[in-house]
Amino acid sequence: MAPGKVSETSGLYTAILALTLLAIVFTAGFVAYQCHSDYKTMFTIASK
Amino acid sequence: MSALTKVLIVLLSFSSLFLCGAIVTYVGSANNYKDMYDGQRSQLQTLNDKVATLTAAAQEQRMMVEQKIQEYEKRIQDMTAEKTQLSVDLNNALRESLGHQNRADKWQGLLDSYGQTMANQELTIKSIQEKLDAARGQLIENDKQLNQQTARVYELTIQMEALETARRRAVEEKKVLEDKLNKIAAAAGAEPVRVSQAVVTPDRSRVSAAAETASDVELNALISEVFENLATISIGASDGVQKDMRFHVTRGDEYVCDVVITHVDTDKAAGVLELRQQQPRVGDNASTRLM
Repeated sequence: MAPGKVSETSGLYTAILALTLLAIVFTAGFVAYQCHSDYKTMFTIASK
Repeated sequence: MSALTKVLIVLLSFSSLFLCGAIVTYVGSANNYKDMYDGQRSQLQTLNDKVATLTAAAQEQRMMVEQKIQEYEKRIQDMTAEKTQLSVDLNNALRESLGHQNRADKWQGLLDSYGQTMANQELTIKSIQEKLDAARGQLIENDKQLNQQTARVYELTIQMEALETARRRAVEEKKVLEDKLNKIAAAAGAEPVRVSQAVVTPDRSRVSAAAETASDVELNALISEVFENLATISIGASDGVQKDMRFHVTRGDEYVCDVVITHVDTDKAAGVLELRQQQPRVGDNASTRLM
């Protein structure tokens, strides 16, 4: 494959990476929601 | 894009997906430790409060129990002292009871002997009473005889006085006759004549028997009033009652007493009681003669 030439398979891998990124974002959001709903905070670990 | 890049992209994607899935699964199924902590904390607080309450109650109960124990110990001490005192009193009472029992036995013996003595004395008194009754009857009879003798002496005294009067009269008559004889002799001879004297002593040539004494007159009456030492009879001066008369009071066959008359009214008389055997009662018979 020549440099600078875009392969027809590049879009597939881009989609895979995007899907992975979405999964990561969903996971982070889900974790943040759970933390907020359970402990009413997302950053403080413990309070007296 | 090289093959290695592709492989890395694929591996990275799958591993990321796996890791994300694991994280989501873990977080979704994780326990809510804050709620658990808060629950445990509130439960701990409740338990602590309950423990404090129970501790206070236990302390209060303990104080009450200690107070009760002190009260019971004090009562036990008081009751022990009282028991000791009662034991001493019981011993004293038993000792006194024994003494009293001994004294009662002695007194019982004395009472028995006194009873025997009293029975003997009753017999003696009864015999003495019989003798006394006989002596009183004899005394009354003697008194009656004495009254008769006194009346006889009075009668003889009057007869002696009459005889003395007759003697003196005879002496005077003799003197008168002597005077007359002297007068006659003087008329015949020369003798002096004496004047005759009149007889001064009255003529008591008729000697009468003495009047009946009070005890010789038979009068019957009834006791009409009785006082402490006085009695009133139902007849008086109109029936012949005189002062110092003696009435014998009887009840049936029993002699009661004598009544010596001290005051005489027309239809009743009163006197003092003498020789009292019994207390006279209204309705008893009173007579100047004993049957």
